[in-house]
Amino acid sequence: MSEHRPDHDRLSAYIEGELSPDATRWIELHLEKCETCREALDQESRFLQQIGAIRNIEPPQDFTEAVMARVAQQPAFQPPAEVPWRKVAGWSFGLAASLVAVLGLGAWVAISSEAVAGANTTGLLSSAITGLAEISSFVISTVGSFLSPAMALARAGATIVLRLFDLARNSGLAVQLGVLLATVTLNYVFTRMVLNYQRRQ
Amino acid sequence: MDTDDRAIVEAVLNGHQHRYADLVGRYQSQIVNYVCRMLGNYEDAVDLSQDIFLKAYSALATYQPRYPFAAWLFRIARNAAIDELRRRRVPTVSLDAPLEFEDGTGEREVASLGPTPDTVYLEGEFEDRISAAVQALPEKYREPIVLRHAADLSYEEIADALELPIGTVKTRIFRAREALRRSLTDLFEDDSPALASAETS
Repeated sequence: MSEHRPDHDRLSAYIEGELSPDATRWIELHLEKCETCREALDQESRFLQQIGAIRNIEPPQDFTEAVMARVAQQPAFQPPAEVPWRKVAGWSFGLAASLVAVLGLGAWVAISSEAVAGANTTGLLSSAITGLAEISSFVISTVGSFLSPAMALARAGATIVLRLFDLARNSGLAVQLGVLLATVTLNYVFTRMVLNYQRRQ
Repeated sequence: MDTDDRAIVEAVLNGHQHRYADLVGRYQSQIVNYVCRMLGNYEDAVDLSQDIFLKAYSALATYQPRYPFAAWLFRIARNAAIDELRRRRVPTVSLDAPLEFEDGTGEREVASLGPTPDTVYLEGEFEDRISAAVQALPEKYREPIVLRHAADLSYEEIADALELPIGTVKTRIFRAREALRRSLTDLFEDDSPALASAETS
């Protein structure tokens, strides 16, 4: 083995387990055949141990008590209110969004296939909108029934949607699309309202 | 261990103020050692360490559980230590300048800069030399070496605490060790080829 200067940084990194597995393997193979580096490794270990002697300052025995006496003068953190409703509302919102997506996809598929077959797409779209409005109203009512403080409001919203739906049943496509938009918006607004209400609890 | 830290933080934030004592007990030694090595005075270090734990308590709600708690705590400790060091640097008066009294001038009485009962933490000359050598390092090298050896943080935690890339942290630690090896060569003299080569490099 030719004379070489041991690499302190590499050796200390090896001792501290900071080397990669490959580098660790390499250095271990090298150490097996290099006495100079084995001596340096021994020296490095002692050196690190001795620098570690700087960590020998003991805090006073009553340190924790002294800190906690000062902490006790601070107001304790308030635990956040129990919010089981938040999860319920979150699920409801997710359910509504899923239903909208599924129904929309179904309507699109039906319209596409009927369009190919030359059927009346407006009628199909109307059916899809009607179904969506009904489902959204149901979701709003369900959310409302779960949440007593917001229940009256949610139910009122659901009633309004159903009235709009009745009015739009025999109207043209534009009105029905308007009802759809109103339904989805109300759905969203009610859910947000419920979530905000719960966060304030 | 770190998961436990997060669980304790959560308990404290949920109103169990007394659980904060667990965190103080867990980190008091590391914090006092770190601050003491940064400031160089035991009494001041204990006072500042108490302030650090109080600051950490006040700011506990801002702790992000995705980071290690130790790194977050040491970032607070570091800022406090740096502020204290800056504060100390401000008013400087030449110690050689004579003092003017009504009945003439006199010399200042200056406390010895040598070890005092408060500043002797290590027993024996060997430990005193290591302590003094660490204290003499430039701040940018002293900080990581103290965090590594006095506070026992991992390289990754040091990088988080100092908000530096891990490569920079390693480089600074290696250079600090090199400087310590040089200044303490006579302590380690035992014909070590490693230290001999470090001395000549």
